[in-house]
Amino acid sequence: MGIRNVKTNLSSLTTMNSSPDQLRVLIASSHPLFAQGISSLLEKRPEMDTEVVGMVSTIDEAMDALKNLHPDLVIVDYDDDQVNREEFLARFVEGEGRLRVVLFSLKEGGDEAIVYDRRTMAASQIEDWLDGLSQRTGEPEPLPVEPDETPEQPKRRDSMRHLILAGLLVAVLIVGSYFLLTTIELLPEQASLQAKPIDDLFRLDFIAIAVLFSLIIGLMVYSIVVFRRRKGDETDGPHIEGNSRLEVVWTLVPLLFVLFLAYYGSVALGKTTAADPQPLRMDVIGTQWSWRFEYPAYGIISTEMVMPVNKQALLNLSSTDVIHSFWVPEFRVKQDLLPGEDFERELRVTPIEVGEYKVRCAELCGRNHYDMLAPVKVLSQADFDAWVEAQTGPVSDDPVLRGQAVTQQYGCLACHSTDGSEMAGPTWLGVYGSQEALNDGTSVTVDREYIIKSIREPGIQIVAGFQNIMPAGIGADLTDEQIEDVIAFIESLQ
Amino acid sequence: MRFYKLSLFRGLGFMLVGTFIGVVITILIRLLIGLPAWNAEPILVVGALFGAIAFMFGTRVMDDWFKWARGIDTPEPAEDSEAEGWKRFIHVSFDHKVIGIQYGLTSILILSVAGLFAMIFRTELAQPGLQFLTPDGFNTLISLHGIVNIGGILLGVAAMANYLVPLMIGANDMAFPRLNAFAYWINIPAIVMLLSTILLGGVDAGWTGYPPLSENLAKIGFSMFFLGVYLIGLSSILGGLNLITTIIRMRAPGMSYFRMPIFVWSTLATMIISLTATQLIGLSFQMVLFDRVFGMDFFNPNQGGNVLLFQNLFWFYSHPAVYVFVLPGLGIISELLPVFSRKPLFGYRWVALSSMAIALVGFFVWAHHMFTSGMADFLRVPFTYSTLLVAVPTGIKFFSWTGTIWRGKLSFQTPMLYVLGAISIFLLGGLSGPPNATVATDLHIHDTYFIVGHFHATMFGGYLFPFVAAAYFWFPLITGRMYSERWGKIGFWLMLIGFYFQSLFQMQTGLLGMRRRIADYDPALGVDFQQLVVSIAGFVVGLGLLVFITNILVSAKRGQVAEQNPWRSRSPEWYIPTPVWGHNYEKPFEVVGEPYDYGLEGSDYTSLGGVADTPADSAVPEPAAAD
Amino acid sequence: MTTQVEAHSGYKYKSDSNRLGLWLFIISDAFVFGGLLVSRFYLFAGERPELNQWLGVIVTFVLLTSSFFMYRADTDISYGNVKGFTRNILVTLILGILFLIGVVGLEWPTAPFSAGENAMSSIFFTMTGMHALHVLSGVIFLYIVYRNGKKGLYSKERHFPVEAAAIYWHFVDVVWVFFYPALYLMGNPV
Repeated sequence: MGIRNVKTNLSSLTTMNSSPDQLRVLIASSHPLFAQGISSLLEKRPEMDTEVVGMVSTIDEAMDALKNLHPDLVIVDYDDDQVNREEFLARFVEGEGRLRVVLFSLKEGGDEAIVYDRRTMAASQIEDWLDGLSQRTGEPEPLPVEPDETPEQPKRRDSMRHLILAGLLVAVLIVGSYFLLTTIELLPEQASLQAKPIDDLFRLDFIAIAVLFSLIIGLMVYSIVVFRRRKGDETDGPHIEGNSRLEVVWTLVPLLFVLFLAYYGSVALGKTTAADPQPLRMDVIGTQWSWRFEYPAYGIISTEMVMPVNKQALLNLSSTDVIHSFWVPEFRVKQDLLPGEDFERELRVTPIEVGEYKVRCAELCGRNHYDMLAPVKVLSQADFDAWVEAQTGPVSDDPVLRGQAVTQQYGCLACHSTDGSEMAGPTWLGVYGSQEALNDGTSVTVDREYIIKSIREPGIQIVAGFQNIMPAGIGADLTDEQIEDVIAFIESLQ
Repeated sequence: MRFYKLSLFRGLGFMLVGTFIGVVITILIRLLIGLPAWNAEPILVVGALFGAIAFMFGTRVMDDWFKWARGIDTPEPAEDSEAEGWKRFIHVSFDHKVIGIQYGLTSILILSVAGLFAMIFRTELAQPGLQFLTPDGFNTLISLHGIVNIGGILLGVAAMANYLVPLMIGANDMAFPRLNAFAYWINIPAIVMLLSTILLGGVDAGWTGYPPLSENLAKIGFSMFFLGVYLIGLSSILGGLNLITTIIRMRAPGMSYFRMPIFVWSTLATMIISLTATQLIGLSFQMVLFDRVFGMDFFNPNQGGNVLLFQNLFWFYSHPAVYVFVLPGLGIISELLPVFSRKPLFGYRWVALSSMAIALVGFFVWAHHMFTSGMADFLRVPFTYSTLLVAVPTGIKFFSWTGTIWRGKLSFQTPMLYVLGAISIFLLGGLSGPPNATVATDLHIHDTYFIVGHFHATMFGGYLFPFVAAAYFWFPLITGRMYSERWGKIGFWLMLIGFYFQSLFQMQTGLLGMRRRIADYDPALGVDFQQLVVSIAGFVVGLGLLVFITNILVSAKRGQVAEQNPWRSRSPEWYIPTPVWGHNYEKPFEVVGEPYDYGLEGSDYTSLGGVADTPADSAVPEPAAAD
Repeated sequence: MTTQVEAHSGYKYKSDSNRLGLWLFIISDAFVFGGLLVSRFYLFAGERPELNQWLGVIVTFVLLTSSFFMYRADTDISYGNVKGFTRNILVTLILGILFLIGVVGLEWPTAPFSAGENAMSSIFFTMTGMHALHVLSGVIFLYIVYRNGKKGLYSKERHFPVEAAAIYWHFVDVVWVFFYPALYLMGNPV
């Protein structure tokens, strides 16, 4: 009777085993027959997957064995006077690891084993429990166990089946998402040498995204479908707390992958910044809200970015006011334009396709940030040379035309219209010679002196109804001749 | 209670008077030191500061502190119980549960305002061409959308932390209840300042407020913007201080650190960031404010200043800040999955420590926001490495969540739907991270809609979906009633589907060349269709949120009375009668087991008992809230 | 075993929590001053403003001395010596005010630049200004503690506000220990 119940209870114990590994059992009794008997019973039940790791007969041996052998289960001879169970339990309670103790009695009436689980009793409760023990006459009360809530032992075969099916789903998702990512148009055409390593890196990223997204979502969808709670099933799932080995794997593998990705990315960065010993130097000046391109080698100032194909351009970027950013999506690379003499920055771009693109300001710079665009023309070397010729030809002798060029190049037309339309600054149509009210209440005639003052000392006399957004440094940028040309141009707008 | 006695109105009244006094004092001082009497910006800045201080006086939230200064001891915070019903929430309370709800409702309110801004500019962006917004107006709307949302998220984080942490650790309130109330109420003048910018010229330099643009524009709105953010930051810092102290000092007996509910761990990690890094946005904004008001030159390159200094200081906070935004939500996911899977949280210790790891690594990545800024070229590479490193603890979370639901017994009430949706959306957001982390690809996608897609996905997945899940989950605890499950599900599907469309199309347009913060886009980019879809999808998401808000507001009054612990959770807050008001735990409880031992028969977490011991429906009537 | 309610409301328990809160506040505040230090070196690595060195030495000496008297006051009250505590905290307070007079009253008006002149002046005035703000709030805190001390509110067993004032005051002092060399000693005068 007692022995039969041992088997029943021991097997129910192993179903409560939280880890899929072997159950390590320590037997504490000073009666060798007790220990041997339990041990051989366990051996006869290989499906219980137990291993008797030690047999001890005193408290001290038991405590040592707890420390050194790490058993999951300790079976203590309840009837053994030499194994002081109260002391053992009291010392046992102080520990921290996962452990269960069974107090098992062979005496008459002892047809139940008491399971004491370290985790479910607090230190204060052990005293009450021990009091209860000493009052009993050998009929230990079991802790409440609700039999119908016993979860089933997840079988190993089932585990594999789930993993395989889920794995198939994940594989399908990977293929599908990678297919999507490579067929949908995701990147503009590659028009620069720098774009190649960047796009390669994007492709690697897309693979990683497809794999990881599919992995998690696949497992999640599988779980949602297969591991639903069945109707009426109020029981809990299996008590799986974790798996240290798995944790280490899914920490190390991602770590190695991100290190690889960072390294690969840094190599790609190196490729995009590779320097040509003889680049074409260009100054790119951003101002609210227009671009100016200067070619120091030729003395050309242009409002269009004209570049010869297959030649690296070394751009010297700077701003006259706030932070702007240079970006041609087809070229991929981007760099901010900073204000200040000591803050010029470089960017290297090698266009590889003849064509027309646009440079688009990529850092919010105020009202017309959205519209701060300039044409980019990549020409064959021959066409580029022809363009240079045309630009460096004799300067027009018409001051109006020269003035118009200045106003285009220095961004005036970004704020002052020539056709009467309302913009950030007053329109120039018909303004020359007229009376204008200023924002300090006085009025002024828009004549030569006023225009010169407005450029040399911007912001002093602002027309009523407008904010002062004149570029602070414009006075230093223009020569007297250029200003005279500008005046001629404005005067011509009647 | 008379309305003018309610803290909110009393405070606003004081704020008006205080602003006026501040203005007058500044004018007098200016005259005394020989400056012209009127200069709108500095005068209004001082006025606003006086107004904010006066507001706090008006709410009387600092009364006890002044008593202590005078030597009068007040051991228990005064609780004014006269305000009843909804009025309770616009009146000062020192009870962390009331404060938590105040944070939550305020958060939802201002997130809705920010969402409204989005709906306005998304209507503009649905088609190319400027239809009805001016470029300045557009720039202001997107900037306010950003900063108001950020404030709203911080409030929502505070809501969850404040309401839940003391309940979860078995405390009856926070360590510093008066500081808690102060930290909530300081947000009100802050919000007033932020919204006042609309009337003061707007703030059109983006929520990031980069100088020189934010210095050069002569719009007073900017100063109100900087001040408002400063005060929200103060709230964050004080809240962090309070929560860290509470978690360290006030846990129930037996609750060792590795026996705390996982949400408490994520809160601890979050608040460490909140306490420290926030000071840097305060400092950077203070410097711009000083440049504007005192004519200083921190960021004027012609006088020795450096615009990159701003970006470094600003991002030193603003990157860790995003972990403040998402770590609590990720904690909510970890908290709820075991309940709805009836299985332990897989690898609890690893999940707990992963939050701390994310917080730590998050301090070392800020320059990835500056790859194109003109920072030292060679420094970009180490920041690539550190940025990608954050993926490792984040990955641990994803794998642990998968491990939790695997082989579980899943049920799919609305909170669980939102949690699963959150995981998938945060995954999308997280996976769009690496292209930003490697410099070469970032050169292409920086300041484009790809980034916009990335951070919206991480915010929705890491904050918004979990917040909604939490609101639904703890709804029966807070109100004693159940929300409508049917409408909960409807709202979920609207938000999920809408948001996927929004994100994916945003990311695509960004890759194709669409910049961010632009009032109009070039038809030559060929993204017209995608932008239209994004706009429509945004409205669908907004509709879903409207369903959520309506659901909780209506159900709070008219929902079915909820049974005790409808989710059969092991967490202690479910073992006291609902709705939970007043004293949390009449008797302190002891922790006797692990928090997530679902499936281990007979195991209890606390001495309050296990799921089988859930007290029967309480007969405690709701306080006057139910009118 | 004490119940949670009793355990969590004793004087010692509350003071321990308050102390933790105070240190957390100080850690947070340290980030502000750290940010300012970083900014100073970011902008002007090898340079410093040309300031009155005598004035700098004197105000530093005054502040360090005030910390000494603060330490005395804290020690006095922890031995129950209310008289000594009152005297020493008054001295601390006065020295703090002298420091403020030295920096805000003397250094600022006689500095070689005005606040809005250039980036270096901006850093100088902001650093010394933020620090002075903390000294001022410390002085106010000290005055409150002084007054309550005179009323007899503090004893050997219960004097946490004094300890708190001391911790705060020493923190403000330590900040100056970093700010003074950063502004007055390190780099070439410009």
